[in-house]
Amino acid sequence: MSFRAIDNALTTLLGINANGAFRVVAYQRQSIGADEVFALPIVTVYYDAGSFPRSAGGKIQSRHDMTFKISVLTAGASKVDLRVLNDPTSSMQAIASALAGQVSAAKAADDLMDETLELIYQIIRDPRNYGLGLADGFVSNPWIGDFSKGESQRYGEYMVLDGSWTFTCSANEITVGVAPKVMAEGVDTSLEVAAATTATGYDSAQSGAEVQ
Amino acid sequence: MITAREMVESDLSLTLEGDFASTDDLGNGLVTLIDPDGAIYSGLKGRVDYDYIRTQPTGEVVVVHKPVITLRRSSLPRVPKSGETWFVKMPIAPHAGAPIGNFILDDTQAPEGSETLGFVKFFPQQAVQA
Repeated sequence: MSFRAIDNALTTLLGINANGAFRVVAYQRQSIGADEVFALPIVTVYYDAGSFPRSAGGKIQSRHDMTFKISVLTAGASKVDLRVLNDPTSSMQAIASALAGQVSAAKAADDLMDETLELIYQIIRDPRNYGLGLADGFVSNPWIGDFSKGESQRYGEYMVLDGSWTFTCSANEITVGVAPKVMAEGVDTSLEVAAATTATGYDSAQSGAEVQ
Repeated sequence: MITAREMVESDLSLTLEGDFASTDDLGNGLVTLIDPDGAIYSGLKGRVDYDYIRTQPTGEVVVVHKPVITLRRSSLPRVPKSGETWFVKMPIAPHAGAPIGNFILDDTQAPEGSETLGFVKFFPQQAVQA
């Protein structure tokens, strides 16, 4: 169906244009470690909901209004001037000043989330990407409608934050039915019954035995 | 006559530190704290727990890397309080020769412990260059 093609197209579009700013994950088998998210924000695209408005001519083709979620995970560590803190010659005042200028891990995760969300918005809203790389007319009314951000959570040494864009669009779905199962080779179900033979009866056996 | 505090200190060296004491071969503490005023406290006695096992809601068993520092109160001239920014230097792994890493005391989780129990517990976060 069209929604699967659009899901793949979105994933591919974001992956091609990420330029090392984030990583697009289509499927993951195991839990992701917070340190892995810290190395690079993770983006996942998935089909979230859809509706099919009723229409009189909807037997073969119908419009599908789709909603996709573009989910983002970022992780942050505390930012502080380590050069001063690790310098044995630093004065107490310099160290105190460096500590006072520390940026919390939660803020770092939030800043990175804002950067990533902005980049995703710019990629998808770029007029050159209007069709998501699919055939002309395949997708109609693409729109990034709203965005939400979760609460930052502590995972090990990092603060992890999740957020998501909601992307909507429409496309036609063509009904092709369910294809019948084709068997590899046929099974002969005919029944062979040999005719009975008598002394004067007609022997229909193909061995050609002489009838007495 | 041994006092209650001396007894607590003696017990802490066994129960708190024991085989997992965060010390080098000479018995020197490997955890260093820097308070918000820039004062440095080194050679602190205690232990660092690095990992714990958790069962996910899906049933998957994972090892979570989440360092927890537990130090004797008696070794700390000043005890960190909630909301203060402290810098921590400690080994990044529980084996001899592990490199020393940079951490900040977590501002989302207040230190735990009490004077009666004689120890205080902190939850360090990874620190990177600003």
